[in-house]
Amino acid sequence: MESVDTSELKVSRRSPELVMRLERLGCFHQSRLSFMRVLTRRLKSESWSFTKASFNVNDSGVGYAVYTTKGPQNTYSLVAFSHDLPDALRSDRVIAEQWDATFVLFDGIPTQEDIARLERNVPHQEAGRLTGTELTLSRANRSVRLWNHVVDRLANGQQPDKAQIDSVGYLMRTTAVYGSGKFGAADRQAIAQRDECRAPFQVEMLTVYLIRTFVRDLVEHMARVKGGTHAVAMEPAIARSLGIGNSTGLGMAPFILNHPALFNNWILAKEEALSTVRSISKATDAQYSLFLQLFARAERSIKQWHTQHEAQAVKICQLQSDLAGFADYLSEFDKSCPNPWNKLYGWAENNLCIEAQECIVSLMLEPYGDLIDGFTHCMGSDEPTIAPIRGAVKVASLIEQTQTLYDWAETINWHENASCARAWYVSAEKLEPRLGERFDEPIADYEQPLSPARDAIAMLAALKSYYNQAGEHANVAAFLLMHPEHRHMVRRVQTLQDLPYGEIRDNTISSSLLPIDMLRCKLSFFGAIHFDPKSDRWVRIRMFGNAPYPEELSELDADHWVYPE
Amino acid sequence: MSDYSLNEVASRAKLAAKGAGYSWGMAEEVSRGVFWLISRGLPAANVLVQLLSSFNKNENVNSAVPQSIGNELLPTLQWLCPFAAGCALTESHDSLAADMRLSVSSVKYPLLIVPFIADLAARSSAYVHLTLDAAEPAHNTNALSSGRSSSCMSGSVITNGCAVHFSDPMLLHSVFVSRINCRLATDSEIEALNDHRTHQTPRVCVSHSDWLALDEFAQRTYAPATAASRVLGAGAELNDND
Repeated sequence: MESVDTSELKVSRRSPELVMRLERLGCFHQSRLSFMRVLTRRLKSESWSFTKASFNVNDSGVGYAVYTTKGPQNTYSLVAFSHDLPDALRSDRVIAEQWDATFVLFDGIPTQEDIARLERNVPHQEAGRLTGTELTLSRANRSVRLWNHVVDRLANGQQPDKAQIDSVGYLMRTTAVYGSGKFGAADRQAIAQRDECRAPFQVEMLTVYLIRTFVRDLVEHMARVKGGTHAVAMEPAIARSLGIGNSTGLGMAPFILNHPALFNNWILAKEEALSTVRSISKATDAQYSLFLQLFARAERSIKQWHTQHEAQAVKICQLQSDLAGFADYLSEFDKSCPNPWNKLYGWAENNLCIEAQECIVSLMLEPYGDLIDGFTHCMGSDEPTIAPIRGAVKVASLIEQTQTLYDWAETINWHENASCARAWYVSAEKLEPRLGERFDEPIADYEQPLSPARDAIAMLAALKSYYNQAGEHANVAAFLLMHPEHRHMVRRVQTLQDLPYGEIRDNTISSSLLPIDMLRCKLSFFGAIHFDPKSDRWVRIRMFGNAPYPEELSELDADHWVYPE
Repeated sequence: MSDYSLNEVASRAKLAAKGAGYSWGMAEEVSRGVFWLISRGLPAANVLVQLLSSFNKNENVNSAVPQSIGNELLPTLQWLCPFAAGCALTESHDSLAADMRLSVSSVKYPLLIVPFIADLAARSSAYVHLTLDAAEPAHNTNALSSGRSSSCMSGSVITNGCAVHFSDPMLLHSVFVSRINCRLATDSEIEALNDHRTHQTPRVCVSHSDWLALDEFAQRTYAPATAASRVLGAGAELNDND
């Protein structure tokens, strides 16, 4: 390995004031710290084995399959149920009740009794029950157009049309991947100490990775049913270009508000990685060359990024234009200058749109896996989501802490309807998270505590008033006895004390809020690409596109697959 | 009885508490307390259902609070909610000093105060001893009559924040205690805890009726769906054929 001199300049992490704005979070790109890539690197480096243990699917595409994977310590099995879904019932929403396929990730190898039990429950998703041996629950719907095209072509002995493959990018999209104790599944705490589960969302990522293999096998099975001996398998390169789609709604947005310690750790890892790379005094030829190579591949991937969403389409257009400008700058760039990455970043920040800046940030991290991949060990959080209140703290101190954290929120006019136009709530209908119009719908009584900016300012007013009455010796416990309505916010302020990147510095109930910014931020840490918003609160993405399939892991690059060759 | 994950029950407890009238912040305390208890195999879901069901128009989550913060807590009205009492009794103290005595009067469902004492024990890196006194308080009136009988009993609890021991299993289901005294445990009391190791459990059993009762409270936090909210609120189509 080539040596890297990082001794001279130490560039600070970017400030939370810059990073934690929704406009920027909504432009984040996948990086080598993303959870999908953490998973595939591990699967390869630890030589996990994969077995298609069962494939009992009939000619109508109905049945089940079991895919088992074994690592150094533990074995996991995807149990997939394939269904014959009428088109009229195909919905990606939480309120759907049937799907094209349903899945669990089983902890170990399921017995026939387990499979029979799962078959009675998993197809019903939220209405079924799981046990402590199940780690995730998920479901997927077909992209009907592409599915039919691929089945027809393969059945006729032909390969699918590459343009059609590229225009969709997946044969099925998951519409939920539940973990951590949902519907009776094992709690996160039950597996958190396993090596392969220390980085966040690893069992969820493994589930999706195995679903992708099942979907490829299923489409080839259906082609064989239709075409008999004329049918052919998909060419590996075409199959590999297919990922798994995901259709994500508002449920993801509350997650990053409700888990400030975890969210902080994700952003902190990325920002620390960036400051580490910006601090490097010299780039070697090999490092710089890898950056250029991946930059070119990223440009190709972005050309395949399609959306009908007007705002996102404008962002993609600007991104492409700015990356072209960056390429021009690179052509003249002297990579032997001191601190080349810091210089490149500085130019990007001064000259490019945020979408392009964040794309380049991710690319700059690529050559330095040896320095930054270890940061992924710090991206989980063992902190309790609900920490005890420190009630002995003086009210004056809490006032100061709140003002420091939420000074930006004090500049918002909270008397204007536009500042609190929205309310987050959960619908009685299958407990779907929604965002409503506070002044047009009867939802305020059901509001979830997802507006920290407004709530911090309200608490601040109550704290100051209480302080004026009770004096300097008043403590938080006494304040909370009088004001239990502020307990949630007191906890949040106290929790955020050591979490510089734990809070979004924007109004999450403003009339101008774009929830897709929150969804994209979280999905970028998963490793998703090709964000395709369907509205301001609903987005489709692609996962594991171009990743090696299990049987290809030993031969192919398990790290940079996200950038198509 | 059905088998549930710990997070599932703790999440449901939070929503049930909110549905019963607690603030979001207090509902979080309920969830945190329930999680601590059920992960030690203690019947918190059942006891929580009883507590939430005992609130009524006159005695609700807002009135079952202490008069003030201090080392001796008294109820504002007839009795104290164990969550409100637990927060008020323990949050003011960074740790429990050797000479410190804390007490709280007229607490319903004292099992539910134990997680807060456990927090204090953990912060103090010490064993904390609780005496639960069932003697009827002088000022008590008919408000508690439904809870009298064998459900009101005396005993002790000791915890170091992780492990916990009840002197009598019946205490787990105690409906009311007139007084709880709290102090650091003596060496002999600590031995009692060490003789009864607490086993943490990864799963929890909850009866069908308790789960339904929690669900009924939780339902109050969900907005009834309307045709408009069904389309606009989630921002997606109802059909995804493409």
